[in-house]
Amino acid sequence: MTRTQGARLDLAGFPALGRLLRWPPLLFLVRLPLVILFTGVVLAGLLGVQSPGRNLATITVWTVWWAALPFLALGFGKLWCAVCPWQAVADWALRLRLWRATDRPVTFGLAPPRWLRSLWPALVLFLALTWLELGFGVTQSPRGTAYLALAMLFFSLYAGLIFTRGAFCRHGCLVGAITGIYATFAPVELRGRDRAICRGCVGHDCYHGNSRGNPCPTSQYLGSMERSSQCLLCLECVRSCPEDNVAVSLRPVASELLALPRARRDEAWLALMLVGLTTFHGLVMTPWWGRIAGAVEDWAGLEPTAAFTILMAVAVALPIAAYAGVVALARRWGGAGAAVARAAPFVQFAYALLPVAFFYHLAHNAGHLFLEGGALLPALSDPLGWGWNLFGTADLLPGPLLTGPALLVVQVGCLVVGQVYAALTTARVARRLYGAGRPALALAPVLAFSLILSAVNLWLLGQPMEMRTGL
Amino acid sequence: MRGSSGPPAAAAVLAAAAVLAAACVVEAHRPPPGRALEYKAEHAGHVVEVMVVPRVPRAGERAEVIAVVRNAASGQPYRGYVTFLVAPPGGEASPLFIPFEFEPGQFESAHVFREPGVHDLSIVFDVDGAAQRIERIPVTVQPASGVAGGIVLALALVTAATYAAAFRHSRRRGPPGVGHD
Repeated sequence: MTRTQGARLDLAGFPALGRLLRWPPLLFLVRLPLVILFTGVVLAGLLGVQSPGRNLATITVWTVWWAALPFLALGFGKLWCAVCPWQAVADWALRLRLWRATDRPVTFGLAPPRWLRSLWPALVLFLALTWLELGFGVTQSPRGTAYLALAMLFFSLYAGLIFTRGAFCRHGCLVGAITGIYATFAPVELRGRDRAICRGCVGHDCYHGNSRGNPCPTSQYLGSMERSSQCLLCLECVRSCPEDNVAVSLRPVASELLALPRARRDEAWLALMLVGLTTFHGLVMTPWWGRIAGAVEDWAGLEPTAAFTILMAVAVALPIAAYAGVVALARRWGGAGAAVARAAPFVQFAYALLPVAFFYHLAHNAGHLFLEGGALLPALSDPLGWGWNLFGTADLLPGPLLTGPALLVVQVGCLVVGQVYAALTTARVARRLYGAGRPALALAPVLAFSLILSAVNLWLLGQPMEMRTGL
Repeated sequence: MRGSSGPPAAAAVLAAAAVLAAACVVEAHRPPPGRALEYKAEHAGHVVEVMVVPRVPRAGERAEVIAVVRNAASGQPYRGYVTFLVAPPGGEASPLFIPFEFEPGQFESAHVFREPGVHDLSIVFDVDGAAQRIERIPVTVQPASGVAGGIVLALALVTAATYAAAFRHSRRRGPPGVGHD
């Protein structure tokens, strides 16, 4: 079996690793501790002291998990989806099995209606979560955090009861949508090893499932899969493929982004929303936010929540509107005329802005992780804030892991890397769309726009940042 | 996109610039009248205005605490550190928390009052090296809302009922054909 293919190293091609990946209880054993932690988070949020800096729920969810999620996506793609505790509970309840395949899941098995079959439900949930996080302040509320965790469990379980396969994972989960688009950077992929074998396959067991593995939860067919955004890395296909034709490979970072697989309109909108929301996220945590929100509240006589909602809508719409103008310019200067489909530049150049959003997201979250991440240690010993000391760490006051110039170097480094990938992607998209016209002129406005976004993000990193567990 | 995107983009940029400009010139962030608990005192030659938004916070939900400190004689904003302390009903003051200085002399912080009842808010600032305290500003906190808990319970019941129906449905089906769909 060939372990290398081009610049890929097939981990499943190593006999021991391959056996481990095909071992049915593997996923269950990885999910179990996370389900226990998830249960602990819900209990701590509901029953523990309602202080965000002392409760396991708020610290685990917002300071550690939510901040670390983009780093996890950078390193391992959608690995979170494979181990996701709320989907694990839903899977166990629906399959009535802990790891074995089932042919009779507990579900009505309906096909999701057409209007739900996109990333838009996830986008709406993402906007709702951002509003709850920054506008309502759910990050400061252990009980609210627990309710949110239960809401995710409800969505995944209820969608599974009504619809066939992992409808919530595929269309509704905001975490899956974000990690999915970020997975284009990840150095991990799961693909069919030999497409010719897939073409000759009659049963399509990776898609339909068999006695060894469940059907693909997101209805992916390995014979044509080009993208990682919908692959949950659940390894069901590794187990079900009768030809042992599934490769779990290491690949160059961002190779999927730079290869420009078929662009999706809903994914492009997600990328654009991420551009606005990541910057907005940073802005809200600076002293500038108080001035801007205060100005709007005073000028319009609005409640803080109403002012926040309006400003958040502006923060999402503004970069998208500006981007639309930039793309119009690129179309005009690119000069390919009718050869380029009308919506193509808007959809495809959006992927070029994704690195700006993603690496600013990493830079911003690095601040949370390095400055506040240590708060997890005392919270683990006293998860409910009731004065326990389970592991002897309750009285620890761990300092920041990185501060000042060292942290800033890491953050600025992230922005630089993001800008480099943005430039590379912009150039490739321009060449693909306007190769017959003037690609250099077409890329100029998009590149300039990404530079302006990076400059704004750089300025935000230089501002003092309010911490989540600072109370 | 062509043709129609320029004007909205320009309008959006102008709107954002207007908000930013307003933010630069506005003197200070104040909650609209009547929406905040307001307290004013003069202490050690300084006028201290304290606001808590909303006026009656709910237990477990976030409230904003704003303190504006000015020199009583000159009206100049206070330059120095301010800290807030909160004592729950019948309890000791919690460890201090340090607000952000959003404007010269204006300090703001979010705070979650954990339990219902009357909390005592204290403001500590420094004048000529001596700590000055404005103590026992009463903040009445109302009990946490039971709406979210009720919704969770209702959803749990709906899920249980749907699960039972789906279970019966899945067991009534005949043997599966090709695949599991």
